[in-house]
Amino acid sequence: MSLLEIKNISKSFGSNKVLSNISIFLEKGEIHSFIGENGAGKSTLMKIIGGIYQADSGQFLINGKEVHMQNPMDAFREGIGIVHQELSVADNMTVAQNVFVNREPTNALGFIKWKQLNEDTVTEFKKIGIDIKPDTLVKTLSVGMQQVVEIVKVLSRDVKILILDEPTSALSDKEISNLFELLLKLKESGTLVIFISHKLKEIKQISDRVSVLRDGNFIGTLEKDEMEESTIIRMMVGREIDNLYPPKAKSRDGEIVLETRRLTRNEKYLDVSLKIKKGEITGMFGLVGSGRTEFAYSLFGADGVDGGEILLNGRPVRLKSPKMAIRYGIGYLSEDRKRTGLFVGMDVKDNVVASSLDFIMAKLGFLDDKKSEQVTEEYIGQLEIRPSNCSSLTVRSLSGGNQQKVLLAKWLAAKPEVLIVDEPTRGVDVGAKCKIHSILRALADSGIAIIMISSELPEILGLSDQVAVMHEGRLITVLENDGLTEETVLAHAFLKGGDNQ
Amino acid sequence: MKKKNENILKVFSKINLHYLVLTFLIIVMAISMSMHSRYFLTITNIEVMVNTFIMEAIMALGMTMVIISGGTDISVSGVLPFTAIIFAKLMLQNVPIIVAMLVALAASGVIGLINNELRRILKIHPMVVTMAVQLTLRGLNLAITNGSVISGFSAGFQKISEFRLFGLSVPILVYIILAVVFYVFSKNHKSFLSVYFVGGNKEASAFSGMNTECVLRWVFIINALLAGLAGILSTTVYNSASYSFGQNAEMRVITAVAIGGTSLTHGGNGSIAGTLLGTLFMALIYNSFVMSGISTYYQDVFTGAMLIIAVLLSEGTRIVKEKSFKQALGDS
Repeated sequence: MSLLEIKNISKSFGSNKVLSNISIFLEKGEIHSFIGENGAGKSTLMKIIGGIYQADSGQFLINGKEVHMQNPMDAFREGIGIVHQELSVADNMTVAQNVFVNREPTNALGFIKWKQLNEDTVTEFKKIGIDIKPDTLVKTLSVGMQQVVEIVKVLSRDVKILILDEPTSALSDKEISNLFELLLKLKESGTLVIFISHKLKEIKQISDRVSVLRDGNFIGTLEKDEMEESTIIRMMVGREIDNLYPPKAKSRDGEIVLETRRLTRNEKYLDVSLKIKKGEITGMFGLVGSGRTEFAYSLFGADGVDGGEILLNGRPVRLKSPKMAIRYGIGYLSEDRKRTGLFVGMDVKDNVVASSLDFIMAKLGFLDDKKSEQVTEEYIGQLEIRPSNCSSLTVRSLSGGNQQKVLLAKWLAAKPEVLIVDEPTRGVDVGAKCKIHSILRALADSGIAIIMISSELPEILGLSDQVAVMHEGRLITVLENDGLTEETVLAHAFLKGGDNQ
Repeated sequence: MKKKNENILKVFSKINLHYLVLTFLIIVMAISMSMHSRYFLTITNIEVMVNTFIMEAIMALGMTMVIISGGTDISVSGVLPFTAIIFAKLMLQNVPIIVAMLVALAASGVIGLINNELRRILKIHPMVVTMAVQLTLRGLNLAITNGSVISGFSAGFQKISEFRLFGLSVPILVYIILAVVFYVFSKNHKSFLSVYFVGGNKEASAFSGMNTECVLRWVFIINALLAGLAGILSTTVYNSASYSFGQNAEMRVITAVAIGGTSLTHGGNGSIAGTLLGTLFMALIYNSFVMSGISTYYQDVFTGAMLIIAVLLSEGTRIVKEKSFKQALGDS
């Protein structure tokens, strides 16, 4: 008997069928992954299992007994816990308050026992090998750590079925390997772990079985020994994708557009000297906290510098604000698209033109409506943003992958000379990822210099012409990417980085 | 099927349900009032109706901008009489009227600047800052005037209140010009668009290359200037200046803006067009009370209720709209 049996589950939103007749058996003590492109129905299925949505038809059986889950509390009672893709921590509260929200240990009068609360929190974190101060305010943590808090919050309840919806998209490699160790432990103790990710490699590494969804249909389940990346991709997209990554730059002798000399920001990064060439993609690899985003902030004028200089086309510049940086032709696609990237409550058109209002002006500062519509349509087409007539829809109503494309469109419209992209494909499905990669390459070919920050090594190696490795605020090395391997880069990142200490 | 859905959405997104309902209510109210009273549609009554709400109407334009930028400014009801008093005092000193106007306006602009700088430097919510400024100004107004009305301007000054162009008084002419300018700018001008962006997401605006602090500074200054202008106009209309001018005006102004669909909770939403409708709606309500002879004590009871309904309506339509988008596009 299976722990969880999903039987003929269907779900429609309006006339749009999101899931049709999904039936899967999920076993006790397995790590079962789900994969599929954005819109394939994974998240909807998970939300149904978690009691957030209700299925139109079909059944759930837990240990052979049918269960009805009308809301998330019902799911909790059945021992189902979900870690959502979107962060849902209260960032104005402490770590401990978040982990034990609504279940704080209290005394007879209902006052919170702070000491016990904090100790319990430390214990929960120890289980996944992380030391944390329980009274830290969540907003002071990195996005990665906030995600960890969220995971611990769910884990701290006794869950029989743990659902993780893209838990690793914001985590560093170390955090990921800690998480995986924990998942293996949970699996051994009999928990069913349902894992959703866009990273094939992770899925291969961690799962016992993987189920593929496409357009709301169940395509099939693969056993561990059948998990070939090419097989999975074929099942996901329904066709072969030959080249995951576009070809490299044709030549590597473009002029140097941007150069930093011993650039330093106290307590963030130190002595970074880097040359960025026209027509190339420079990959910046490093863990969360290695100083790469902070370095990008300085190049974009969003943060100052304490030492060293930035040269643009050979001339030293002082970038005091993003406004100035944009004037100089530097763009920055931020890693946190909701906070510093998009205007989610405004429509797609407004978002696309936000950084290029100056170009889209008619006389006297009035916006040329036709032109802005035209520019938006152009990028919707070029980036294949869906739905294709979304220019007057609010960004909030688009899927994550499409939101990311809107953010990219914003920067394409600004026509930068140097474009810094920070985690450009975070939380984006394979199809959209390929599209974004090929666009970045096309931009480079058109003469733009691109700096791509990513914690996904395959992406760095697949796309970059040179790879800059950062570790703990220092630029460890810059490698030309002529058949670089992951091992080489990692060796530099960790071994050499270790030596420098 | 999906294509068809998208087309329906496109049409749906163009129609603003809120304006539709508001326009409908205004028409219903106008018709029922004209049936109730044969004086309603007379020139005299329309003049009365406009005059009772014209200062609020002018201030609502600036307030819309402030609220779209994600803030609020309740100091306007202090700025209005303050500017009126300065203007009147200068006039009594035989300062040329143009100079007196400019100085009084400049004073109101400075208060707007003070509002903004307090907000920026002390990082206090504009609600609190402007509340403090409003209180301060109200006290100052009483102190300067000793609680009495300032009057006794030259006979020439009185002529301003009698001036008519196409039968329209000076405040109305000023309002029409301002409303047109604000409407046109709000539609498409870079400066006004930046206000939407800053209200929508301040950090993302900065990262898109906007000078967010500069935008906010001008938003507060312009709003205060409009309140100052209303003060000067009030002086011309009443041929006097008093600390009691514009009492509680900030509430009526914010209510008009909110009824027009500009969201007090989510910056970056709203429009001047909505405010024009909201202002008309409020003016009609106030006039209805006068016309129907119901005690004006109930006026604010009614306005309060309308505010709740308007906010429910605008938040409701926003949520329904977004939900239906999400569902029709499928969840992902």
